[in-house]
Parts: sequence; C-alpha cells; structure tokens
Amino acid sequence: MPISAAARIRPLARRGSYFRRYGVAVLAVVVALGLRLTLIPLLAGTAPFLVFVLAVLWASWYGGAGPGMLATGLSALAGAYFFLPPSFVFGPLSTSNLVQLAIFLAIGATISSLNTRLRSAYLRESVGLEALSESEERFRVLVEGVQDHALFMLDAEGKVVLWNPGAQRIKGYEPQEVIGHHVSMFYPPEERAEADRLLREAVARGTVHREGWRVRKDGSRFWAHVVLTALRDPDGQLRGFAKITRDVSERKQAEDEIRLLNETLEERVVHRTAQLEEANRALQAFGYTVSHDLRAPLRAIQGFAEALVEDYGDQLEETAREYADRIVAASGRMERLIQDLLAYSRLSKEEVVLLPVDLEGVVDEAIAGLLDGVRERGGQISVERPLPPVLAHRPTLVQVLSNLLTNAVTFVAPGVAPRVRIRAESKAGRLCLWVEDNGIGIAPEHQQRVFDVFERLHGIEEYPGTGIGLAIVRKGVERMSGRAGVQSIPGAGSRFWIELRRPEAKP
Amino acid sequence: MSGPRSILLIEDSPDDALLIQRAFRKLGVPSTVRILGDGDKALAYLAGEGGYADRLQHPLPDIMLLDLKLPRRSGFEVLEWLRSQPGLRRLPVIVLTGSREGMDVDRAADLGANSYLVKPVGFEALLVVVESLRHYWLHLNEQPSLGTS
Repeated sequence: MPISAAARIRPLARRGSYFRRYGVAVLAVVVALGLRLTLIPLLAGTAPFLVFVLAVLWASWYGGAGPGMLATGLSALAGAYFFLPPSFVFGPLSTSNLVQLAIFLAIGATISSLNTRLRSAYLRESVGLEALSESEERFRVLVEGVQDHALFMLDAEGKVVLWNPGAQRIKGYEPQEVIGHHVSMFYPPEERAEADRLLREAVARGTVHREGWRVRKDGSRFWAHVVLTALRDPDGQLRGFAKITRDVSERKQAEDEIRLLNETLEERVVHRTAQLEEANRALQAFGYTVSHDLRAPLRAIQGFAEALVEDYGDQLEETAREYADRIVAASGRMERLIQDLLAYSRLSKEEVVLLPVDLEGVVDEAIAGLLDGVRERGGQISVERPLPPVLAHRPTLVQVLSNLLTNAVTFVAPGVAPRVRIRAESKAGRLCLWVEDNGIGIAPEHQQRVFDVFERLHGIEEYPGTGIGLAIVRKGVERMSGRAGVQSIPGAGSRFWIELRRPEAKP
Repeated sequence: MSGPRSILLIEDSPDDALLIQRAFRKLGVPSTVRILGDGDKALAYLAGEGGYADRLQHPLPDIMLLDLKLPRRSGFEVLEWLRSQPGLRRLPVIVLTGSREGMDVDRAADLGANSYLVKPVGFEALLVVVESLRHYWLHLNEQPSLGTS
C-alpha cells in the first residue's frame, strides 16, 4: 500500500516525537560542551560560544524552532558557566562578555528560525516531489498498461515525445524510432498535409475526433479512430498534444461489408423482381396462347363435326350421327371452359379501377344475356327495385352477376321452373346484393368449396358447368374490395350474396 | 354496285378457310372468295406482283378478311403496308381472327382496320358472323373506289 511521502516525512516533525526533538537538542548541547572542554588547552577562554553554534544548527535542523531555542538557551548557560571568567562558576560578567553572550543568543535565535523555515520548505518540496513521483508512477502504469489504444504525446510542433506500448503494438514502431519525429510520419504519403491540418484544428477547438487511414511500420494501412487534444499549461500556452489512436479496421470492414450487402441487396431485389416479372410475363403469354392456339383446333373440331352432320347427316346411321353430336357437344364444353379460364386469369392481372356503377343497369344487362335460357325453362327472374349504385368495375360486375344468375337458373330440380329473386340490402358504406333461387341447394360442408376453381358437385350429365363460375364470382368480387358467400339449405334453395362498397355520399 | 363481289380472305389455317368458305356457300352469296395462306402472298396479290399481275384473273377485292396470326408476315404488317399504299389504302379490311385480346383489338384499330371480328366456335355462330359481314359490307356499305389515288 503506497504510503504518502508526507506521511513518511512527518513523523520527524510530529508532536509525538516532542521528547525526541528536545532530547536531541539537549544532546547536541552536551556534545558541543564536551568538544569545547577538550579544546581548552588550545583556546583557553577565547570563543566561548562558537562551538555551541553547531549545536544550535543541528538541534534546530532536526527538531525545529523550539529545540533550536532550547539549544540556544542551554548553550548560553553552559558557555557562560564554563568559559566566561570566572570559569566554572555563575559570577557577574564583564561588559564585553555580556555582549558576546547577547550576540550568541541572537545568532542562535536567527539560526533556529531560519533553519525552521528552510526545513519546512525542504519538507514541502520533498512531499511535493514524492507526491509527484507517485502520481507520475500511477500515470505511467496507466499509460503503459493500455494495450489496445495508442496513447502518445506530441510537443507543440507535433513531434512525438511520449510513446506507449499500445502505440507500439498498433503502429509497430519502438519508442526510439518515433520520438522526435513529426506525427505526419504515421499518415499515408498522400495525406501528410492532413496531419498539420488536424493539429491546427485541435489547437482551435481543443479536441478533434477523426477517422482515417494510418500507416504502420511495415507499410500496411489500417483504419484508425483518432482523438487529438491540445494540451495547455495553466497560463494557457500550448504545451503539446495528446493523441489517442484506435485501430477500428475491423469495424470499418464490417461497415463496408454491410454497405456492400446493401448495395447488392438493391441489385438482388431488382434482379429478383425482374425474374418475377419474367415469370409473370410467361404466365400471361401462356394465357394468351390458351386463348388463341387452343381455340383454333377447337373451331375445326366443332365446325367439321357440325358440317358432317349437316351435309352428310342423311347418309349417316343414327349411331354415327350421335358420335358426331357428342363431338360437337364436347367441343362446346371445351370452348366454355376456355372462356371461363380466360375470364378468371384476366381478373388476376387486370388493374381494377373502382367507379360508381349503376347496379340496376348491370343486373338488367346480365338478365338480358340469359333471357332465352330462362324462358326455355319457363323460369322467372324478379328484381326488387330500386337498386342503389355501387363502387365496382362494370365488366367484372356484369360477369359476376351473369355467373350467379346462370347458376340460379341451372341448378334446379328436374322439372322445376327456376324462380330467382334479386334484392339489395344497405349497410354502413356497403351494399349486400342477394340472388335467391329455388334450386337444389348446397350442403353446408360444400358451401366454401363451391367457390374454389374447378370444384363441381355434380357430374357433367346432371348439370352443365365448368366449375369456374363461382371462382370467378369470388375473385371478381374480391378485386372490387368486396366479399361473396352463400346461405343454403339442401332442397330449399340457395341465397348467394355479394357485398360491395358504396360510393361515398356527396355532401 | 351489283354483280359477284370479290372477297379476299387471308387465312393460314386450312380448317378455318374451309369452314368460312362453306359458310359463304351455305348463304348462297354470289361472291367469290379468294384465299391466300400467308402475308407475303397477300402483299403480292394486292400489289399485283409476280403471278398476280393479271388483274382479270386476279382482281382487286371489294373487302379483305384478314387473320392476324400469319406466317411470314403478320396481319398487322399487311394492314400497315396496305394503309401506306396510295391506290389501295381505302380497301375495307375486316380483321377475322381467333384472338379476343384487347391489345390486338387496339392495335388493329390503330393500324386502320375497319372492323374486328372474332372467329367463333360452332358453325351456327360462324354463319351469323359471315351473314352479318356479307349483309353489312357487301350490301349496305358504300364501296370506296380503289386503284386511283
């Protein structure tokens, strides 16, 4: 445990050693007395007090003013007793002897007080020096101990004066290689001027932080974080600079990697998007091919089958005619399937802009398209008017309604005339359109499935259909920000509903 | 204008060509339907080049039915070329194709087609199309003059 310098010196001056101090004073006087006595043969009665000066000097140096004065007093007595005539007796003194005594006392007092002050100053300086040395020691341990940071000091001109092991480790130079050299030696050749700029900035601002390239002894570069501080003495004069340098190459490398990844991320996103767009285009082209190229042979199949029946029907046997009829029917189904598929795929790709649409007009249009089929079966479609306008995409809405109505009219029990009712229900901001029929109904476990693509609940012989009609309804309605569903009881008809947005009320 | 009308059909599919011809025949339309199977031949015929130079044998048609998907030169290219020819540009062109794509309809209109019809599946429907064509373009419509600028 470090004992402070003051604590070490102080015991000498402490009150506790009072006995020692004054004892030393007495001892000093005794020794001086003894010395003077031995000098009697040489000196006889001359210089009675001179030797005692030594005692006072020593006593006051060791113990301070008090012991010094004691020594003075004792010495005066001893000198007067032993060496002033009459000797070895306390008798009256002559004038000159009195003066001698007085001078000695004065000398003793002066020596004591001077010595005391000298001693204090000496002590103070010692304490100060000790403290300084201890403090220096602590700082040295601190600076030497730091391995990861280069801590070094520059003079006012920027030349290295202090170099810590951290600096040696990071920059590779030993102290003797750098001390006295300008700090710009650590900068890359093309940035030497930067060193002076940085110093000037530190002088102006006090401290600067900077990141930049530095060069090691072996020529390699590293990315450094630097803190440069201008050091000033108590008068404000520039004494030099303190510089802390850290090797942040790793961090910079990580940052560079992230930046690179980010940039390539942009590229990768662009690339991925292009791929997706390409796939999309391919799909659209596929849809186009379906529309165009699948239909062409279909036209031929149906056309010639019909031509066969028409032109040569009378030459054909009944079975042959039936075969031809089946060919015609099948190709007709395929045509409808293609149409529905195209309609479905178009719903996915087209941009749908929602505008106010007159629902009544759309319903009328849809009904008009089916009128023949309805009349054939003796059916009836009734509409509860008026129907309010909705936010929709007109062609899609027409398609949705046509599909719903077609289903309503188609899926009835054999021999039953279809009755369809269309009505609207307003809710907050939304409109619910009901298409209610007297058809065969849908069992609960199938009510979700029917809206899926290619889902059919019946064979083609029972009821015609592509299995896509309701999928188009749901997809179309969803594209128009709406929903679709059904309520149904098998044998008791179905109530299909679609929910659409209403145009905002005009103020 | 009366008398047998001349219809030029540019159609690469022999099936479709046959069916369309049959439809015209069924309607008893007094007209001759000439069929060319690709875009290059269409150009040559209209320009009166090569084997088509004899205008008695190969008269300019009253209307042209034009398929879009043709080998060598597409229907669009034929149309574009036609509309740039001073003596031919008034020829009524009815696009008769399998595609219903909006893109194609728009492009045909941009290039100056007079009408756009989709080849239907099913003979009944084809008859309706051909009959409408004939009635509108060969009977009702006033025929513009060709051959002079």
